[in-house]
Amino acid sequence: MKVKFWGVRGSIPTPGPDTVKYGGNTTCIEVRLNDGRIIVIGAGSGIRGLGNELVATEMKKGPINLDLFISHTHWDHIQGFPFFTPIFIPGNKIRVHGPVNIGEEELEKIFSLQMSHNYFPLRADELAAEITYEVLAEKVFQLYDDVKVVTKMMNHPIIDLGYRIEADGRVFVTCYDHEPFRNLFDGNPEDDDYDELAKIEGEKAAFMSNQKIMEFIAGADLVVHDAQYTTQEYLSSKLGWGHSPMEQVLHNTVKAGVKRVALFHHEPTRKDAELEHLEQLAKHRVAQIKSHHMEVFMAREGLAVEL
Amino acid sequence: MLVRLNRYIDNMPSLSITVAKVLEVVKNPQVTAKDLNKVINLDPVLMGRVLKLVNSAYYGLSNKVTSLVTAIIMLGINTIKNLALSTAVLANMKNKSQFKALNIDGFWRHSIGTGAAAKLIAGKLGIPQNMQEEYFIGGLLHDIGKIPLNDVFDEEYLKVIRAADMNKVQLIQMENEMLGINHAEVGRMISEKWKLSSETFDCILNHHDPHQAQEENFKLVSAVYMANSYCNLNEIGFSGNRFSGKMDMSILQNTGITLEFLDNLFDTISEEVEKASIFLHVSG
Repeated sequence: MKVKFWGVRGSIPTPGPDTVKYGGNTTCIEVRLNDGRIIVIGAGSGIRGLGNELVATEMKKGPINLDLFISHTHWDHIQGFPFFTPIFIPGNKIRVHGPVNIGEEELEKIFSLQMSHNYFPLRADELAAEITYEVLAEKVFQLYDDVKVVTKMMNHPIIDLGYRIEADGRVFVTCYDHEPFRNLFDGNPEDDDYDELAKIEGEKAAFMSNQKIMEFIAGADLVVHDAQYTTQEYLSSKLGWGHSPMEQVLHNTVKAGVKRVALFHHEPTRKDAELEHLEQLAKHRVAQIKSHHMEVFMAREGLAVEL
Repeated sequence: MLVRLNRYIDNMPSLSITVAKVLEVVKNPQVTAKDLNKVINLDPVLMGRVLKLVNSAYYGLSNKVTSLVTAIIMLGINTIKNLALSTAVLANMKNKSQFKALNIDGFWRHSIGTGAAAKLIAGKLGIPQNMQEEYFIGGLLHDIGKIPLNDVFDEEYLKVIRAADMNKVQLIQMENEMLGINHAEVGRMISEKWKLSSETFDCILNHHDPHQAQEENFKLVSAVYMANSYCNLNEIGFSGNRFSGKMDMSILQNTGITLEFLDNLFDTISEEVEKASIFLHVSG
């Protein structure tokens, strides 16, 4: 199994001289199975580059047939779809899988909306490829007989799924956009709205939910994990934004026996130099934790990792 | 009839009495989990819908979530806010005839009162604190089946309530005779659609006869039964059941709860209902 990063940035594309090394495109990951089958995770602006390459190489062999998984429908995870060239070519088959928000639109409608005439010159029903949409919730299923997929609800301000793909004897996991579950009913006995029962219940609920994330990533060969902030940034002003502090990600992935972790969904204001610095800090931190061998790196556009 | 009820349940609105407060709370950009918890606890429909969501196909849980606190942590503030908003908007879209037959303020007071009483009874029964919320939820939701009956068949339901009154019989009996369906059965339909826990389901279905409840839920359903009877007999709110009959002494004996204990609850329950009422009607 080979994993290639086509977009690693969070929130909004950030092209320019400060993001040349790690890249400015929003999220898109290509998972290539040993026999050539293609799974794509994320349709941020990075999917444009992937599409162009697929047209240039794969399509020489015949029509493209792939599964595209979406973590959630926020813009930075779907905005590249209208520029994914394979959708315009007859004969290609693209199956889009992802969650929708509570009792709202169908996945197809959400995708079509960004192709309505106010935003885009073509309409979704003018696309020539055969595109199907499947709404996903938390579940375990076989994508193919030999490819198992586990989905897990993340902690983000919208319904959001992480994916665990087990194939070729390897385990690949995405865990973004996500922040650790926390007790929202914490407080001091002196507070007016203090409720001890709720505090105890909340403690238990947060612990159990975090435990499930640990089980979800356990033993993976590669986890692509949200690490948009440092702990300091997270605690000072980003609680509840749905993104993780890097230090806690390292602690959890080590604890869960993960072999490699790619820090992902980079904060749009981060320059290359800052990401380089944080990458060094991350490596140093992991080196400090003894008796394990986890490799950590910053996800970088264009980087391909063999699992 | 069932088609109309089913359609209604699919888009069941919040009680109009709670809507203003729900909107006020969720429109506050600084809303906290505690604020949401407080306001959802006052709205049986919203409570049911939040539990429905967390127990829905979105989450591959093996055990049903019966705690609102847990639901809020799992779903997150934003998702709950949106859910509350859409439920409240449904209520605003309904015609003004909502609760023509049942007095909405009375129904709401009865639901809150029964929830509060059931929780107090749970304390007396020695139920661990972390499980007492389930008793409150059982009490809050026990009469949820009356909402569709009242809204879908408003004129007929008014006749049913009047007939129960004139004949001095229990409302549920008159529902069976005149509508061919009763609020516990409609509650069953809601429980199934909302995928409520078997415990809450049992409270809704069997709050008139705890002996029919699953053995493991007997204490819980009995607590809701006693709380409901107590609120009916003492006119804490009004849910259309003026002649609720005497309390079944065997339930009291089986659970070890005494009439004296219940009588001493009156001030506390009234206070709880009053506090909730003030919270709903006072902005800020």
